[in-house]
Amino acid sequence: MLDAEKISAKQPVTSIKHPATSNQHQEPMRFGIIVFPGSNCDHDCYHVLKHMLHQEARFIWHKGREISGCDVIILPGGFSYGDYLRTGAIARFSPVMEEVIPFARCGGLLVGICNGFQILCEAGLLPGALMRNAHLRFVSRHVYMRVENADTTFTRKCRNAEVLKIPVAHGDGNYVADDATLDELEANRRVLFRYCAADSEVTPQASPNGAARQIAGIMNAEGNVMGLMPHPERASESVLGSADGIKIFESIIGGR
Amino acid sequence: MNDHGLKFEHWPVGIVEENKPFDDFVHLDQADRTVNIPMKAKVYITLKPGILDPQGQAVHHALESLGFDRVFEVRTGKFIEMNYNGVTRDEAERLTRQACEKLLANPVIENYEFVIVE
Repeated sequence: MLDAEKISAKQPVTSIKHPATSNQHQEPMRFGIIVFPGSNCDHDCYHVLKHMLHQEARFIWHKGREISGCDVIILPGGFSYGDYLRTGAIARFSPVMEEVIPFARCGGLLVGICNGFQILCEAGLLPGALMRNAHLRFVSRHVYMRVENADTTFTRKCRNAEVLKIPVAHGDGNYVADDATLDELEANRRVLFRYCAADSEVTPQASPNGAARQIAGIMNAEGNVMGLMPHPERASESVLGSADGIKIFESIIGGR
Repeated sequence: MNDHGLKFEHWPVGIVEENKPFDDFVHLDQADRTVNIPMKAKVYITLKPGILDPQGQAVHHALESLGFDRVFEVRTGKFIEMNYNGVTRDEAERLTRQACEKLLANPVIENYEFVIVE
């Protein structure tokens, strides 16, 4: 093989950097975006990571098992397997998850957004479960969420108590766990985001789904797995009505 | 009645091979018969007590408005049937329990029960 071919094989086209914003001292992070049948936010994540943040990104079909080389795995939003049985219940047993679960157990960064959050709960990588919204309606609109812990890999570019305007789009976002689990999450600052009013007040009325203690996003005890119902990838450009979501991706990238 | 307390008509029907031990014959016959009977698992998945069931509440309200005022609570759940071929009743039970624990029910929010019928 020619040297030029070796180089091109090692550096896929996704590694193109934008000269104005790329960090000269830092290689781009490598993101793997898992695509299940029914995923519908995979391209949104790809767009933000590759075109806006100039990171490496690639899609990984759920039947594949090749996740090697990824720094971060994203389980995107959507309706994997039509949400049959329970949301995320069938995707959790996809072949690729046999690689993703050990990846996370070994400390790899793993983010589940919306349906991805549901899959993480079903896989037991995060505690609790996501149930049908308390009012039984599908909800698709911008909500406000308050950053409860800005000292994590996923939130370090935010401030504590900062309010982010991010859209939700789900029918099953009602976070449920027993009181002991909820207490433990709160005691260890593993609740990363709560639904709130625009002025940062956390009230049940501000919650779009009835989630326990207004929880919108949590992380695992080790701090390398995060799940959240709102869609930061849909709020990463001001043209979309909010660019607050990009702070979460910048946190992951800047945290390295 | 014979010595074993069985009526003759309940004895296994089949071709008795000469010199074949009687116990073996009974064993093989029973195994054969069980495996050839299709088994059906009826699985009932319910929400754990204390878990909010807004669907049940909505159904309850509808029932109340229809005059079913003696109903004080409605809980919804799932019903799943699984048909087995070529397994014994014990195997059907074991497999069904495994299926419930691994996939059919989420132990965080749901309980399950099942019956096996032939």
